[in-house]
Amino acid sequence: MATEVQMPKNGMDMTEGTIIRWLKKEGEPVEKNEPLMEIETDKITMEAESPISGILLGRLYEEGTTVPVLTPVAYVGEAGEEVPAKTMVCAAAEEKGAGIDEGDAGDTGFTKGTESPCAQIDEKEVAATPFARKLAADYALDLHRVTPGGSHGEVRGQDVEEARNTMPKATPLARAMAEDLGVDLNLVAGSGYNGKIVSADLNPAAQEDRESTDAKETGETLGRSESSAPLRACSAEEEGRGISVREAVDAAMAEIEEVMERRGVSGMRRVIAERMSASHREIPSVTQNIRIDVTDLLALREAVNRGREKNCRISVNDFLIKAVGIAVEEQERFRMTWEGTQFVLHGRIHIGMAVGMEDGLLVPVLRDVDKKSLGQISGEARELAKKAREGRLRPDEVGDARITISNIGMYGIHSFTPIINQPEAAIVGVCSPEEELALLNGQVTVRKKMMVCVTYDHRILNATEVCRFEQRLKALLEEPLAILL
Amino acid sequence: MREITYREAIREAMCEEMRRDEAVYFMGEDIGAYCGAFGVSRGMLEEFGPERILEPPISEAAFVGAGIGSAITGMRPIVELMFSDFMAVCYDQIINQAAKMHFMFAGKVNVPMVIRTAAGGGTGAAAQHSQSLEQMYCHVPGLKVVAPSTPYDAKGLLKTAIRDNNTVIFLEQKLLYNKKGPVPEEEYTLPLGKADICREGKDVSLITYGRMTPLCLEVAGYLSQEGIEAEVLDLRTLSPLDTGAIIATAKKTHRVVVVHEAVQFSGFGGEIVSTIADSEAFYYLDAPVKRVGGLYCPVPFSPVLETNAFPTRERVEAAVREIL
Repeated sequence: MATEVQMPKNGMDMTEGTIIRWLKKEGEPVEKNEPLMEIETDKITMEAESPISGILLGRLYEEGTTVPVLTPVAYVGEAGEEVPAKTMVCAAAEEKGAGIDEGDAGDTGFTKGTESPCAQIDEKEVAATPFARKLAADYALDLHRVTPGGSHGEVRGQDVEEARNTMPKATPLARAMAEDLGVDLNLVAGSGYNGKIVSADLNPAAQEDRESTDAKETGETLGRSESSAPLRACSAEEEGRGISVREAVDAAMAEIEEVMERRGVSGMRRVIAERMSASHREIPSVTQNIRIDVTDLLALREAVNRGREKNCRISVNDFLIKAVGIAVEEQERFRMTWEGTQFVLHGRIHIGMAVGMEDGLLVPVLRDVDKKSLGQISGEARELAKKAREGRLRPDEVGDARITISNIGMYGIHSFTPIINQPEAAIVGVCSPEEELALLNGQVTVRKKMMVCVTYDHRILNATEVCRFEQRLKALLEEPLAILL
Repeated sequence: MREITYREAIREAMCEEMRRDEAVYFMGEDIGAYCGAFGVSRGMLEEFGPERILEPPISEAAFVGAGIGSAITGMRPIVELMFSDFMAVCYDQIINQAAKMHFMFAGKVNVPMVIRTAAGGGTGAAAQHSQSLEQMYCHVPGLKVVAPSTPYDAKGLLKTAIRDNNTVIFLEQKLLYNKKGPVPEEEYTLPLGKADICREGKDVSLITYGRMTPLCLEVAGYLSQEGIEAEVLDLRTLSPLDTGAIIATAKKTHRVVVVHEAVQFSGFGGEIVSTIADSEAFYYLDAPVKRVGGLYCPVPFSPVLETNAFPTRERVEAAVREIL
């Protein structure tokens, strides 16, 4: 049987990916782990590989289509082998406006060249337990469509149950609404995660179902036209088709509020919004500021950089990364995460580095900072920041940091309260060095002082622990030779 | 509730029935002053005297035959065979006489006899004193076969067996004689042909009887720590067989492991599996039905070999994991 190729899920945050380019044609042989397509996530661009060796049998989506993660996008198998029908239409494709497969919400949906395969695959015998067969008969479900979970490749009762529960996917509210409205969920295109039908999808569906039989026959996709909601939608009753109450209300509100424009959200912005809200909501956070005299640090930096090429000079931030690494190594609570019922202590010292961008923010991560020299750190940090700005970060270059450094010192900021990048225990905010007068051995001198603002998770750390951390940071930055060791 | 041993429960059942019914008497080798090979009849000679506690010479064929003869005249003998293995020397009496008379005399004759005997191994008594031959008796129409696993079941079922109007083979488990369990002081009986769900579960059914019941409960306890909930069905009576309970538990959990001490090949487990396979429970099976029985060999004398010739916790656990 042909093997499914799915849109990969690289990292917890990835919900969908865009097929930028197919690297293989249909009918072309492909090796296991050979790149099959190029995909783009909200963070990076990467190649997705074939899970097995064989012939690329069917590409289910055109280039440029955005599909939810774990959605089948292609099949690889033996030459001439039939491939299963695409059962789920990509729902999250709405942003790009492609891949919706108008008039084809249910069944085939191949890009080209394959006739409906259902009739042929029925001839193949399915290994199934008696219980699985009974359930499949009870539910009028085709065993061919059930993914076998048994250790001998057989379909078991629980597999049928799961298949039944997942076809079609819908939220409990959507199910209840569908039952109330008498709507067949099979005819509704879901706009939720992995094509799940959510309550919002049912608004127009309910009307559609009552008023139009055309929609049923063509399986027209519904409930995805918010962005193009026309103002005339106020008269939804008269128009009669495909316009929800919500769209009508949106249109009316737009007139009242003089909204200039409603703008879609990029994947990255949405992830940032979700993660920042979650962090702010879930973490009892406290921010503590400490002023650090960086006069000597700046002098040392100048000395270190003397004679170095411009593009490989050590930055203040590099010193900071190293110093934070030392403090985190010494104070284990800064390497802990909180998992609801227990603390988890982590060994390796990875430090995140917030990189601001035109439209968003990324946090590439420097690995094993404690084992690297200042020079190495400097080189890697420069490279990571560059890759982040160019959208070339690999999945293993983000995530799993113990602490993040957010440096906005170049913008003249005096102090701020950074938000923790979950599940880390703290975040170090770095501000601008500011000149001020100070007495040194009875002489008035000019010193440069810089605010460091540490926001910490009070479930993991308490104030005195963070004070010790900040004092250590201060000591390291004020006597910076220790950082070079 | 008070706790007494399996041995005491059997003695109580016999004594109570002998007090209740003058026709009941007890016959067997060395059951008087010696109290029987396993000490079951301690004190019975003192209470009931030599007229009702008979000690025949060592000829199983002769005294089982005497039991049958007295039974058809209206007595209700309890006959003790020291080891169930020795039934081989009185098969003709049991199979061709006791089991047949009621039917061959058109129901005009009953053989209300109980043959109590110690079955099973685990005592280091080697190949001729350790067998579990229940399948052979189950195969003969006209015999009822009981194999209790607890003191409570032993007492309740033995009383019912004594009151039954035809022959009951009552298989006591040697290794269980010392096991204690709650038994009420007041009178009670248990029906033949009624299995007992001694642990409820949803993931897999362990169908068993006799000495393997405590083993299965132990395995179920271990599995439960991993979140695997095994149901343990103790058949208690093999003939008549509670097919309804077998089918119900198979339908409930969809997975069955049959466990018995008797040799697995051609053992009673085959009957249990067949019961499932040719009932509607078949359509509820989500995995092959597994059997865990004794190895196909005479029971070894060496304690190490003997232990491993019978189902062990590891083997039962492995069978469960294989089908989960």
